[in-house]
Amino acid sequence: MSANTIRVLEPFIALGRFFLLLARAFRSLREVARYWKNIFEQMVHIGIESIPIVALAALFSGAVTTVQTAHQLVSPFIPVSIIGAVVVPSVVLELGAVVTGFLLAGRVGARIAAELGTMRVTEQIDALEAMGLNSVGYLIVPRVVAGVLMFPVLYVVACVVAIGGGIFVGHYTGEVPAGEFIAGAREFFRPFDATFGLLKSLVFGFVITAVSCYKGYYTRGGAEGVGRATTEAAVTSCVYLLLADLVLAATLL
Amino acid sequence: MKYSNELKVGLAIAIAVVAFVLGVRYFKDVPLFTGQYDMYTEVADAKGLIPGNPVRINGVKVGSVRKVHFEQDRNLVRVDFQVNRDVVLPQGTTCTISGIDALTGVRIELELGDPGNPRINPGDVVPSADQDQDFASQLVERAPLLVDQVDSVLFGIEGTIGDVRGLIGDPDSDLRTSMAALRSSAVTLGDLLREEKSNISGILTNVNAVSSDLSAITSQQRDSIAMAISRLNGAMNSMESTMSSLESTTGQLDAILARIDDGSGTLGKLINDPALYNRLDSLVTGLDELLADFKKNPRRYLREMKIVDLF
Repeated sequence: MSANTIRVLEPFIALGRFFLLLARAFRSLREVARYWKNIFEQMVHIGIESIPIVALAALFSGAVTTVQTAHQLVSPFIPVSIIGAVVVPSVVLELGAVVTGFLLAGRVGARIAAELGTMRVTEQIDALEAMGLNSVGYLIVPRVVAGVLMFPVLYVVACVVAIGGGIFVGHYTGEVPAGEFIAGAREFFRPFDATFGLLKSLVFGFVITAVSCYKGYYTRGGAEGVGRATTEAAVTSCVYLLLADLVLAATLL
Repeated sequence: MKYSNELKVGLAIAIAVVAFVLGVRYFKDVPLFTGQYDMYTEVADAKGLIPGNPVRINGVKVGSVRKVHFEQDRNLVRVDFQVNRDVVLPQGTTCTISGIDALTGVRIELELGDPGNPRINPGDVVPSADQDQDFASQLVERAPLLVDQVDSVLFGIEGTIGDVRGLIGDPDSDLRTSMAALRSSAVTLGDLLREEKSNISGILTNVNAVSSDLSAITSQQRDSIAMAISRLNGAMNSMESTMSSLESTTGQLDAILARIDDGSGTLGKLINDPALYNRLDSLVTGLDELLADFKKNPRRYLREMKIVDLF
């Protein structure tokens, strides 16, 4: 094959490699008991240690959404309780999951890619294989499982903090009293929004960890390759996260 | 104390699950810890009710609508709703769907029955009190008052009718004579119309024919009429210019007359100066005398004219 043909086919090769890696990971799922400890370790790294930064980002996004919605409502005929009715669904549907996803694409995705990339270029992965350990089961499955399990937790944290921040800021800037905010939110609340947000966060957790594992696992080219893999992991995770967001919204809403 | 990873993860997930469930219940506006039980009602018109709308008693929310479902075979809308466990609905409770869709949101209002009655069992139907029945009950409440009013009105009408009857019964009353006159006028008018019916219709036919003729003529002669009008227009225009020149002539004449009147110029002097007249008069008199003299003895003059004979 000529070099040009390979360049055209490169995305498909990458896609195929990604899904083969996923298939290997699924096969390794039955060995999950063996890597139990790893899973919990990753859950703490991915989930628990991300709570502060997620909470901070959510606090500000909720507060900003509230203030800006209040700023946009200039008509005296619209009750201020509408602010609650706008902020809560936007947080629950979109901001809670997407802001968390972006943060974790940077924080978790880069970390995973750097870890696996370094292990790859220092031939630790080869060493694991040589010792007879399933490297996919040992390295990738715990991270992806931890991502899928902990992302919804982070999503809930983000929603609670964002709505709390919105109510707090709205109340203390005098834009909307807390009672009005909650009354408006209750008026237009649909439980499916929350379920949908939870589902989104689950998918995002999977997308970010799987893409980052793929980028790290197939790193080449020494220290520079590790750097490149880290960057690509963060950027590609964000792109696929947005794509997944659109696909979910278009199919389920 | 060092916490194990398992404990951290377990705690985080447990707290998240609780926060999620409580958060959803909180924003669904159902009580966080007490349960609810199901009831349903059947109405003819759901008035835009949707799941999540509140169920209220005396304006306080006690539950929410769970499902609104149209039953085709019975042409009814079945509304399932939930009521908080601490609220007991006694027998005789009815419900109404009220509120305006866009303004306040639609809701179910429960009207509690006699508290002494046994409760309606969970899962049973709460009968709906439609607006029509409401109106009927209002009517029943107000009926005695209404009857009194109707009575007094009828009494008044009765008196009036008695008066009118008296008026009509009296053979000398004005009303009676007016009526009679009116009747005879009407009869006359009717007769007149009947007699002249053919004439009137003939007149109308003629008018019709005339107007249609007129219209036909007009449409036939449209071109020549237009031409005549345009010529007339031209004549008017030239007349206008004539008028203006006449006007200027008159103005000049005016000026001349003014000068004559003034006494300036030959004509003016002739008219105004008596001296000239006197001189002319004396000249004519002199000329007269000269002619008389000439007739009397022409020799005197002809001798002088011998020079003329030379020619």
